[in-house]
Amino acid sequence: MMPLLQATHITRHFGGVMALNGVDIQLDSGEIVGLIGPNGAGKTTLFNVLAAAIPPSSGSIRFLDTDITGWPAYRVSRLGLARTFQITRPFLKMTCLENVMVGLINHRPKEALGRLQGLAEEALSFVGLSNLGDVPASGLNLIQKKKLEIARTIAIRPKLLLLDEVLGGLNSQEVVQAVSMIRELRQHFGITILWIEHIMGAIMSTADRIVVLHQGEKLMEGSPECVVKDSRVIDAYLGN
Amino acid sequence: MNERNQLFALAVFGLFCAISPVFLDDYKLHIVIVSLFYVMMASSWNLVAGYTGQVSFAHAAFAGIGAYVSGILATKMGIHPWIGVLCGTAAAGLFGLFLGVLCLKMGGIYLSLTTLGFSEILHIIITNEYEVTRGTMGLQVPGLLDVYSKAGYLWIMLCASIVVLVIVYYMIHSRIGLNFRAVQNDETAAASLGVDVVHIRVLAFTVSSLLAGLAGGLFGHYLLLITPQIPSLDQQFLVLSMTVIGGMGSFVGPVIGSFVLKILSEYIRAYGEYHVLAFGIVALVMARFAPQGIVGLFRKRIQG
Amino acid sequence: MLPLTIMNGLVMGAIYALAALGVSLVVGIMNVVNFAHGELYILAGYFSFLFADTLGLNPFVAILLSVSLIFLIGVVIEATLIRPTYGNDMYSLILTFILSIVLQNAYLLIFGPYPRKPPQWIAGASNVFGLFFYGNQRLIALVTGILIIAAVFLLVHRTWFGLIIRAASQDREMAQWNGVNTTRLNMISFGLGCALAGAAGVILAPVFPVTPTSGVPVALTAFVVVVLGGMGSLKGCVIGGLMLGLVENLGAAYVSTGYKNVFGFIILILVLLFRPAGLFGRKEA
Repeated sequence: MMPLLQATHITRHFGGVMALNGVDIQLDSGEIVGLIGPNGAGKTTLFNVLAAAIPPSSGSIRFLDTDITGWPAYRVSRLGLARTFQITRPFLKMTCLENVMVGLINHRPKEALGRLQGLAEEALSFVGLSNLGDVPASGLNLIQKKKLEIARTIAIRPKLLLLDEVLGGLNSQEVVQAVSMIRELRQHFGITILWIEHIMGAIMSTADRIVVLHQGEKLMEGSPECVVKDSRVIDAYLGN
Repeated sequence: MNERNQLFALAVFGLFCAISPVFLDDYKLHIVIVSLFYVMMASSWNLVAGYTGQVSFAHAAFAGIGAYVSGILATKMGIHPWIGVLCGTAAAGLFGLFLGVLCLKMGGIYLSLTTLGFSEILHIIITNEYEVTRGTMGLQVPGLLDVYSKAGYLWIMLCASIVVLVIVYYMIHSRIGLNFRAVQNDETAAASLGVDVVHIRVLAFTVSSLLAGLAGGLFGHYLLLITPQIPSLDQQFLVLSMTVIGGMGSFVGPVIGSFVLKILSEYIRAYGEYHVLAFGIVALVMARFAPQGIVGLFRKRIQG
Repeated sequence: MLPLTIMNGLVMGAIYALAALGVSLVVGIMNVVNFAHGELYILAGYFSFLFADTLGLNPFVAILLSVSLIFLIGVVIEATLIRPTYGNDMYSLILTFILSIVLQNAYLLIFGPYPRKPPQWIAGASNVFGLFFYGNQRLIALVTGILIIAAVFLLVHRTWFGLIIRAASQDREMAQWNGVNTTRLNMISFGLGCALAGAAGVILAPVFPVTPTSGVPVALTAFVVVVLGGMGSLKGCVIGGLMLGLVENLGAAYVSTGYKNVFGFIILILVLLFRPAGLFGRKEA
């Protein structure tokens, strides 16, 4: 079976700084894969490259059996690759419902607005924001903004979702809720997930597989059990 | 004041303008006509600046293209002004499309720089090509009406303003408008949700330029004399100030700004040519402290 | 005629490079285009006229004073108008554009429409390579321009402050994380950018007298140079500035004087068509 996403030898530098150096990553349909690594390991840069927010300096990306290397971000999105942002980026001056509608009108340009609005309301209610549809996004708190970002992405039914530290800033109870929501994303919508997270307990208990980045290179990958025991990973985090 | 009330107030004001020839003298009618020209200019500039967050400095230049293309067609080839205005509108749209495609891949700053350059260059060309444009002397052109009548022109400009406002309203309340606002709010997030940011920006800029061309064409044939004053940076500045002072990014803001500033400038004019300086200072203070303009101040007051 | 035209092109090119350096520095660090750049250039000319001619100060004292004042004005503009707009690039464009119109009209009110010319620093003319006689004032303008450009390069590439500038223009957020005080950095860089416009102004004013709107073509050319060289590239400014100076003067001499400023715009269009990131621009966004 073809992998859902296959990124080969991704390299990216900013000026003289090498942020990613020959990273290979492969995702199969239906997986939840954790992406971890110390600060500055290149996790978010890899997300930006995969979601086409920035082009790779070299390397290639195949998604859904299509070479998407060098595509603009909007085309990658329309093909079915969605993302959230580490620092949330809702459209602040638009209502929550409008926030969700933006993706829908571009992914389903031919469908009637009324039906799209129904889908948007559905997505909002899935994340528990159904009563805030008419509130401008600027009025939301951090957790609500994170939920809104997830609602925006699931409304367009992506094949692959890149989650960038969705748990940051949540208390332990909220973390539990969020993790169960992420599991539901796979169960309900069959979305494959690549997930950057710093809260190890949450990601280790949820992900099928973990990829560890360190200084722009892939240090190792494997099951959560292998990764937590691996001495290289421990060294990387302790900074040896 | 919610949107429905705003539209209602606009409709009442439009009606007032329509019957104003009954009780206004020719001089005051002239002010209303000029204000309507600015309504078209400011509302269409607002479509780009207020709704997609790009600053074009060539809006007056596009009005100039509309006016000069129509004027030259009429004087050199004897084409009827109505057809000329349509040609001028199309020409402005084409120039807008060209500049938009050229710059907008690179981002908003490029558009601002290039449109500013374009305005200056157009000005230079018009002043230099005396044979065709009559330079600073101005190009005398035929009117739109066989018999000159202030009321007639007022109705023409009013109808055109309504057309412009309807187009702007339709655009900002349709799917396109949702995309406009998404791009203005956060283009990275918009692109990640499938919005073709470049396409949206070029579309907004082209439509806006086209509408400026229409406004300029009609205005030229009303004045009967097309001068480089129409596509000047001073004119651009006035349109910008009217939008900023009225309320950028709101539908009625530019309409309010146009009438208020045009009428004020008539009063200030009595004290010499200081209205540009005065408006500049007001616009500077407004843009800095009340970026939502008069509409925003009004709204704040109502909300307490 | 050709050597003289080239010489004129070089002098103008050096001034364009100087003016563009100021714009580029600010764009690179703050992502802000100062549309009032040309008006600050003019203001420096007026100041040096005021100090040297009206107050009778020594011309060198006058120019130092003028450029310092422009630096301070730049700092004030940054603190009052630009700083509140961070995160909204559009408002800084609108604000500086309005500021440019306000300044033009204020100059008209204060200094009148007539050209003002500060005294020349040096009189007479010299024979250049036995080819032609060239005004000493223009020669000294060229030399001063080159010296200031060299000083800017030393500042950016050889000093601690330059290191911060380069870091910030590479990645603003990164610099902030690494403890750079970006508020102060922005203030100083904006002031410096304005001071470079001022430097260009005091150098050129004795040759080309200033009027309320004579900054517009210089600023426009500086903007073209910035796009041509690549946004934020200082090397690009120098090469682009010299190129534009030469093209304009050759074009004016051999094609048409009236269209002198149009050549720059044609170059701008060509750059955007074929090499939109400019000669030395970073390709990635």
